[in-house]
Amino acid sequence: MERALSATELLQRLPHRHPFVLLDGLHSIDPGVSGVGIKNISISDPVFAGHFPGRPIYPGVMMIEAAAQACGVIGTFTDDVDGDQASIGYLATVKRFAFKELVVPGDQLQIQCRRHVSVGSLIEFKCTLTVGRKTVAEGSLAISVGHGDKQ
Amino acid sequence: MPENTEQYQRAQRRFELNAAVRRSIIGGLDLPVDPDLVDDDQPLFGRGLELDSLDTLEIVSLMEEDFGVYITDEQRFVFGSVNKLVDFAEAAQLADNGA
Repeated sequence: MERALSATELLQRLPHRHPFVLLDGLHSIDPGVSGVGIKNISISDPVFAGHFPGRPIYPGVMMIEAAAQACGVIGTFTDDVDGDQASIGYLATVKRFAFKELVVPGDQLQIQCRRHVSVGSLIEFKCTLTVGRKTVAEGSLAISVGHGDKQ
Repeated sequence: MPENTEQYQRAQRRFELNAAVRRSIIGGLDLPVDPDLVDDDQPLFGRGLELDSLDTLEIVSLMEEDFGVYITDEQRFVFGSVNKLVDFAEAAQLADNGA
């Protein structure tokens, strides 16, 4: 059974709220292992007010955060979303991220995340971000799985 | 010890593997330490090389990429020292070779 989450369902699993919920969806979820995040880049995103005036370019650091949110949900995924053991993934490391193409309003980012290694509560994912068939960014990041109040 | 004995060659392979693991860890973690000055029984964490839990992820990656062995959660005891990592790598390689 393929697991997928809509934007509304993601809010049940992410502690983030506006304006820092950066995912519009997550599909092909293999809990703890892999998944594909969706991020629609809109000109109405407040980040474009400053990055850059008159020349909107989606910031690389926001792409890393979007990937981290996807990895956090994948790494802590449980079918029992309301359970007492609900966990949160905290961003622990960011390694070798490279940005190869500009991402602009109108693009849809597909964020492919796959577990590379894990030790204890730490999980490192390799992430490839694409727009259409083009790879726009790639790199690795690790999350630390911890417990916390999601509200 | 004569250089052509099996015992000598085994000791030589072990010596070289220890050196390779030291170089891999020191280089991979970009530590400001001469690999030849790291004792093979020196603790890697805490007061030894002062690595932390985030470094374990990198060591797992390095051991897989450089030596073809994967450390699982149950085998975390191998992070204790270079000798423990090499013991593990030798045993895993032997198991893979069906010995």
